[in-house]
Amino acid sequence: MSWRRIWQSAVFELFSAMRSRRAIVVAVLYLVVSLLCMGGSITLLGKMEDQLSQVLQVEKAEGTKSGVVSAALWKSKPFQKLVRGALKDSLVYDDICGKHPAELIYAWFVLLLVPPLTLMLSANRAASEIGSGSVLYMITRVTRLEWTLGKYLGSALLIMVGLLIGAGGAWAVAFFKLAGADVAALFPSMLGWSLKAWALSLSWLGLALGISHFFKSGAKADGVAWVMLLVFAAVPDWLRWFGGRYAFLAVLFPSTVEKSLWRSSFAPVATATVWLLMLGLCYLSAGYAYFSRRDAR
Amino acid sequence: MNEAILTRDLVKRYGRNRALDGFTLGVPAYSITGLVGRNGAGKTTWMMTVAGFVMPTSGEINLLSSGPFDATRHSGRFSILPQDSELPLTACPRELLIRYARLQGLAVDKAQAAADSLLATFNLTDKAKRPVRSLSHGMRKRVMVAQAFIGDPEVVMLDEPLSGLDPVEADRMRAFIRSYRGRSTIVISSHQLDDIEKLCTHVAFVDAGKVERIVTLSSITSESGRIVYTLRREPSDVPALEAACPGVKLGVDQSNNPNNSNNQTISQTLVAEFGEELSVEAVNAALLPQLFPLGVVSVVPGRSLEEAYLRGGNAG
Repeated sequence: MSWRRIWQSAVFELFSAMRSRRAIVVAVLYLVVSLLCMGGSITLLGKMEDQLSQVLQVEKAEGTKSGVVSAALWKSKPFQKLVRGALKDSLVYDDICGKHPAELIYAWFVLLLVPPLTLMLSANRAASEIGSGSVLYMITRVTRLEWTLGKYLGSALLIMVGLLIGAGGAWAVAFFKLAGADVAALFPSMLGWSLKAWALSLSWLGLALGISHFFKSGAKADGVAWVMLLVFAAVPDWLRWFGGRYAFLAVLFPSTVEKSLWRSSFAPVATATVWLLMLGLCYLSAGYAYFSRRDAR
Repeated sequence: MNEAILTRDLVKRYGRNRALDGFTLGVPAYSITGLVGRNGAGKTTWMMTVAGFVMPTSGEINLLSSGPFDATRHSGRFSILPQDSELPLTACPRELLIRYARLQGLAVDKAQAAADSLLATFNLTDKAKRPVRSLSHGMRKRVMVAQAFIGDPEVVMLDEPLSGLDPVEADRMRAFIRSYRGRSTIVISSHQLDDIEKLCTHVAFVDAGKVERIVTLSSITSESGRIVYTLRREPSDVPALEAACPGVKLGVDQSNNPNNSNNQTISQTLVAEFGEELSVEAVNAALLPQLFPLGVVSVVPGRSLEEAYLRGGNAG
């Protein structure tokens, strides 16, 4: 295995993505999703705050933007107790307590949407090339392992760019729609959440490409990937509730590890990132193991 | 190194079907070897197996004296034009060739130079920056062949390299492939026997997943042993002609006559076959005086590959 050839394969993947305008689709998709989710969430937050002020019969100051009430709520002891109870994880609570609502909204939707977006954009990548035969021009020049890893690396870089663009869009919406001068300072935090979402995407990307190696049709790979998304969402909870002594197997699913990404301190986030990468490579290696032993044509 | 590619007892099974059934072939180094055989004979499967695309059920492959294909050993040294495989449709030929060259380990400047040179050779310079999907079938085929030659590999396999090309481009392609004679080992699979005859130094006859024989082209089309005479009139007394030239067997071949429809015969083909003890000159010296009264249109010594192939019982 040669790192140079893996890198060249990754560059080839990026080059193909740009040529096929897939790179633009990825960037636009992440941007539009960020804009819509951020805008929608802030509007919803504003309505909730309006209703809250009506119920409490508290006058909301004229021209006050959304987020003021939420920021004030964080300072309320009963509210803190409520959130702590809902999270059932005091460590995560300690880390998110007091954070700006815009940051938490962004963190919530980016971590929620990265798995389906990753599957949607990546599950057909290998399958369509195997099906069309264009993979043959690659695997006379690089090994099948180098091609697989190059595809993974190239796709991961593409997702990272998409997420960073999405963070910029979400921050712009927050800046114009939310109150408080501190919103301007949120950009680094939102970039941080994008990177955490990228760490999460590494495992889902491994799953998407792993599945893709089993098929010669991009449409079939897409279909199976969506089924696997549902399975991977349901199985960890099922294991936790009904798994008995096999409950520990839940750690083999990205959603179980995802909670650690909500932490602020370096160690749990780094551990979760490494674990998610390992999970991604494990899923990918299952697909590679099949592809490496099968006829490419 | 005598053989650039050596396969022994190669078997590839698809269920009960044996696509390769003990395919044993040594491709001489620096030769241009043609694979000839019917549809499903195993030519493409053999190429795909040597290239590592298809996993053999059993048998031995030795490519460039360094075992079966492995990109870590053979990247840049071996390449193939696979059959029915699309290039990435959104890529442009020049970028594609440069990327492939970079994957083979060529530096950027060398990759660019090689890509530009091949595009010029294949008359694609003006299409270099257009996406592959906008190119015609023939142009795509030329890009596919160009990728096989980037970086001057030691072994190149071409599966139907001339299909879909117009006569001018096909001729240009033949000249290009011929220019590699003695520089690289080239294997060509084609149903166009005329192309094989024009390009190859060796021919392997393949049937039912096996190689029946591999011979030099000159041994098939050599001038000894056979002369084809085209005459204006049919010879009335063939035994008398045979008597004038002992050791020569004569036959009238109407199947080769392009003008024998509706019984309106304009020319006749007389085939003379003889043993090694006789030379072409000696046979001509004995027969031509007898044939001149019949109107000799042409005298062609030797046998075409197509005739040799059809005589071998491979016609399908």
